Amino acid sequence: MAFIHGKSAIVLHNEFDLSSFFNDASTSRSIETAETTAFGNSAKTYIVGLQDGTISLSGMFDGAANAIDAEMTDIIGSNDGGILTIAVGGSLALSQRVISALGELTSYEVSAPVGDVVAANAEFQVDGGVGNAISLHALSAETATGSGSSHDNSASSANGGVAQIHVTANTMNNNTVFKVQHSADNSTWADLATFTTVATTVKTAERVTVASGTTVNRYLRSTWTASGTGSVTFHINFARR
Amino acid sequence: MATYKVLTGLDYGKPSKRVEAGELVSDLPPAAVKWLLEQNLIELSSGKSAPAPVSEGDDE
Repeated sequence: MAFIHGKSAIVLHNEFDLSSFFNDASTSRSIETAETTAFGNSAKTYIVGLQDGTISLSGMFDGAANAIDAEMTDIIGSNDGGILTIAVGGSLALSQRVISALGELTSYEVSAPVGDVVAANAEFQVDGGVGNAISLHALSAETATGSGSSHDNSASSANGGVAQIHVTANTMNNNTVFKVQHSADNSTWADLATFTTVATTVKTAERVTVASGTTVNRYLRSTWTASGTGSVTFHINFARR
Repeated sequence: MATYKVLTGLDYGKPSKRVEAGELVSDLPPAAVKWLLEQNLIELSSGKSAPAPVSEGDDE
């Protein structure tokens, strides 16, 4: 086991890497419990219910385009919320554990103290649960069709999951298709989640849900099919359910 | 040789071959046929003889 310093944490929000604006990222998860205590019990008993979660991000205000203030105010009141990936370990490399979530912005606060930097704080209600995701592609550029190395989960799972992508830079002069594939043998690969085709130079983020009850095989990888030339910078992760 | 209808896009073989849903294939790796059938990612194409999806030597 190795402890991790928080100084290099990464925060991706939709199509932006907002890490340089934040200096604190906190995730909270909770699970409802329903009491099942009956006559004859000597101690209270419970069963677990629905999961829930919240995310808090705080840092420094920047009013420039594509900076923290513009991106937070963009999603105020939006049901689409913000697609969030948080790498507390400071790495989005293959197989790194990351937090993935759809966050509905519940508050955004800017404070300007006379003796300190102007601060910004955003609170998110997680919509659909906090994902324990695995990175399948670091936030790095690709220039041609390819596939990532595989991640070995050691076993399959049987309850679907959520695939998430952040495309933070894109100079491709034609469409790019991104997918998550799975395999039982690390050799033959089947499409598991296909993201909406990313058009020329478009930067975007998306979550694709794999239905509960779907088998997700032991091995996972990302693939990308570029129809044009240029460069596209993206990160993909997948959270099993 | 059994022919299968692909129900989900697949990549297999070396060099890698890509097939899309709806295509018919007869060159799937034998070791993959079993799990692809079990997960309804492929189906035996109608009118073809039954395949032997279990790969050699993996029965216990």
